Amino acid sequence: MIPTTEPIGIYLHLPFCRRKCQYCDFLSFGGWRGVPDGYVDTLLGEVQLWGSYFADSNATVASVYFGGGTPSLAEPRQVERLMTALRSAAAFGLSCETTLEANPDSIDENRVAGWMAAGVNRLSIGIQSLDDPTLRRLGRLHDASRALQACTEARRAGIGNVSVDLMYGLPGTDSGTELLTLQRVLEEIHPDHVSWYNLTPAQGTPLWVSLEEGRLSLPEDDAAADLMNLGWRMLEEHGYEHYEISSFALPGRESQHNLGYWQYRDYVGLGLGASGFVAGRRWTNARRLGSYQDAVAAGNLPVESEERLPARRRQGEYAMLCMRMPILGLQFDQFRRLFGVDAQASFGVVFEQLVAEGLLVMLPDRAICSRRGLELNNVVARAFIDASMDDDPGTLAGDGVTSYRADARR
Amino acid sequence: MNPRNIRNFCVIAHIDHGKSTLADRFLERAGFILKNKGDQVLDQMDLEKERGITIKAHPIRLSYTARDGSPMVFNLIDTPGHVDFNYEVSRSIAACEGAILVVDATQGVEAQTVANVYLALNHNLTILTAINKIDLPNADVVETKREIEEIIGLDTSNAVLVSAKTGVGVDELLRAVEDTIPCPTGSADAPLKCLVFDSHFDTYKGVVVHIRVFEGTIRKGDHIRLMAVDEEFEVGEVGYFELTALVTESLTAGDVGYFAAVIRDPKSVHIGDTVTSALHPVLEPIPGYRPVLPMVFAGIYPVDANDYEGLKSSLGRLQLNDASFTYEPETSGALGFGFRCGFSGLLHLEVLTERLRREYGQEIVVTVPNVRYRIIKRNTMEEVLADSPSKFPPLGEIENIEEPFVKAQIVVPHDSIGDVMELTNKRRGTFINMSYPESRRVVLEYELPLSEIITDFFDRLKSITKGYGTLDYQIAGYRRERLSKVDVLVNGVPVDALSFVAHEDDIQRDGRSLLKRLRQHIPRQNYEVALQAAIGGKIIARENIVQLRKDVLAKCYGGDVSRKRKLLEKQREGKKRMKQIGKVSIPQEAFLSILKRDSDD
Repeated sequence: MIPTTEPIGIYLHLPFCRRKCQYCDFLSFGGWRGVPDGYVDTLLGEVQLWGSYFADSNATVASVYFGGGTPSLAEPRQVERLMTALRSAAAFGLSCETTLEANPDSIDENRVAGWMAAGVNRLSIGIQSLDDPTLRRLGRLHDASRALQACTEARRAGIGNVSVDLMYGLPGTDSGTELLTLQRVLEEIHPDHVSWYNLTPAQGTPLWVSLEEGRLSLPEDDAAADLMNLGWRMLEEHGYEHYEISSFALPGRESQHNLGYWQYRDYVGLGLGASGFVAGRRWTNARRLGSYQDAVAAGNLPVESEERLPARRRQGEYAMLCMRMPILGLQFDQFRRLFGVDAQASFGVVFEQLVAEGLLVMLPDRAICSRRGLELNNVVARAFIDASMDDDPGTLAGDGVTSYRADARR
Repeated sequence: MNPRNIRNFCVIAHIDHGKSTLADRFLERAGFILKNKGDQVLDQMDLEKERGITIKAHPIRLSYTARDGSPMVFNLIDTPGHVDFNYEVSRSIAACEGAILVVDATQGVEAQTVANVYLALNHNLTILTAINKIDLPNADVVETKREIEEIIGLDTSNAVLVSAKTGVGVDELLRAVEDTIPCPTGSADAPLKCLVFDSHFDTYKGVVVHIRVFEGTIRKGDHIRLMAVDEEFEVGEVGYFELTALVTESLTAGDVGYFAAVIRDPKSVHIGDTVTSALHPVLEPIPGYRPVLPMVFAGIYPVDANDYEGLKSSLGRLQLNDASFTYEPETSGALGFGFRCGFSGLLHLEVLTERLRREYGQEIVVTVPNVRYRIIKRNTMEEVLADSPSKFPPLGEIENIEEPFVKAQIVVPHDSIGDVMELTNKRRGTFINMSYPESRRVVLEYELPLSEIITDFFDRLKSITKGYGTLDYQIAGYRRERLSKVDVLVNGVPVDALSFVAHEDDIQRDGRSLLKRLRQHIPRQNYEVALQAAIGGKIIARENIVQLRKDVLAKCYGGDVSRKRKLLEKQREGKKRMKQIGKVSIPQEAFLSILKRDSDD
């Protein structure tokens, strides 16, 4: 009999940037020309701490994701060291999707080839816009021509899977410019995958301050809604499948790693402030470099906070994530496998209510959002979260998963 | 005490003219040691200090030594200092033989002062003038005297110059009280006749009734009758107030003090009522009594429906010490279970709602205040009193609507007359008279609908006169006006809490303005929402809230899951506090902002 394996993802956080962008609220530091080797060493140490979990569980690594920060500041040899450590610690699937987030200003043919040699097979390139004034306002280090050039060089290095990040609803930019950017990206770069995001100003960022002080202004809600829809339509017309609210892929090119987040697969987060989710437990690593490094040096997992929800609330969280995926939706057999109960029994009332409001469509094997349900995804998600909190959390069906041993933190 | 050695007096002063500081000096002269110099003894509540007004206080008995060395008693009776408490002031004045008029030498005479001096003169009180704050460099004694003579018409040749702060002139003033203010008359052996001028509630003693004895003697065990309510009680305790209450054997004609008679229901005790003996009653009560009628009404609702019982008990406790405040249960489709409350005026409303919030910790929604309308029904000519728009009969049954008017005295600096006239015109005022008692200020007399001055009239007046305008008013009776009740509908469902009554000339403007504010405060919903203002079935204004087109979080990756879930959970908590009107959820905050009338309207 073939032992069943659980596909898991591994996320590595590289929080270093040459400069922090105006809108960025990620955990990252500006003023770096590369990734310090000391940090890579700590990451390697953290990988070792997970050794027993990797060895004892039947987890198989289905995806690795280098996120940031600006992971493209990492030298190929650094990526190589990390990949080698991971491969020796954990079982890897045959076709492990390995993504590295890259900014156009730190991409060239040699570096891409180097990362590929280390195992990277997918680049996620942060283009954001092809309008130079917009890029400057956002505090990006590249201009439009550098972005296009970077993509050409990546392709020339032979990378087979390229994803591009684009934003809309940007301050001071008109809708036409943003749609034109999308069209040019689709027709000049032919990416395998596109993330088409609405800019969400985060409190405390320089951009947020500029908006608060009235130096910049965002487009009206209705204009942003139009852009969202026009972008969706253009992407679909170019053959991209709308598989998540902001994610579009040519057939077969969906991000396996991100799908893991939305399908409730386990993932291990490594690095400063990284988050993980294993066996129903969510945690976040220390967000201060000193605490993070001290913990790892002392042989402890650098966990700062963690939570484990009761089963009923996990069902709500799961539904919230599933509803982001218009194609996969909430699959009834997956739901039963994860929680041991029927989705209909858990959320029958919510399904009925959302269908009546035109936000949800029931198929024989799954529930998916309607177009309107996607546009008002928070309304849909809230309905599930509400239900999962209203109900008595006492029923612990499917809550029999035991914690893993690696929890050796202080 | 022999009445010849008693002096009963009050102090009339404008806010901040130094009444409480002067009272502190009196207390010190009488041998009381004031623990904290900063605390003025007479003003007890924080709120009073903040607003500089006295809402409730008790009379104080001061021991004094006469010129001839014999012991004397000075009873200082405090008076509330605001237009809303006019009647209470008149009852306090009626308990005295004299009054000290305190005028700030740096400010001069204010409208409120004038009104209260006239009130005192009407009760034949002897007025003693004290010019205060003479220690300040900008004090202008000559000009202040001139104002007192010209505006009020009092002789100032015997005015005492005082600094309540430093104590200068205080002894002279007390001597003047002894010399000028008449002693009380009346006989300790006559049938009992006392004036009720205040009361407070004590958990053990019940209502403690503050009285001025005019005739006879009251002692423990007496059977007494409260004439207005015609109820009898047995006196359980008699006493007077120094800094605290002191029990005594009896009170006799001329005395000021209190009695308690296990009166459990504060509604039995009316300010202005006459207390007499149940066995040997007087035939005629002391003149001037009238029941205190609430003039201004508002709904008070708990923000959280679970707090209803708590709110109810808080209102009950407030009423124990304030019989002029009324409340009764009321149900609103929009706001749930709450209370319709009556107040003597807008300030009274503000003070009590503030106390509910601060002292009783109640989270409340207060609806737009309104007056009590008199509606004459068609055909039957039946009269309906409606203290809430929801109590209006259907439009078809209404013959006409009357509303209370007031006669208002507005004192303003002469350079703001134009602006003030514009304001009063907007508020449907009728000009009666204008007088220039002195060069800097003008007294404008107007008749105004009470409904127009209970919202923000006073605030507007203060702002256009840069703080110098003052307002005083008396109820002048009901007048028939062209009024309509306007209903507000959200998706066809009437929101009773938003109904309002307006003059027919203003309904279009008021209706549109309310809908506009409503539109700003109701979040876009999953579907289009129609907002309408209607009279009867006729729509007079309409606004739409277009449907929500986009409500989505762009990113939700590994580190975002918990954050996003928590955000949705938080929104859920927020939704719990929303009021459902049909399918539409209206946040509590929206109600609060909508009910708060904009000063621009």
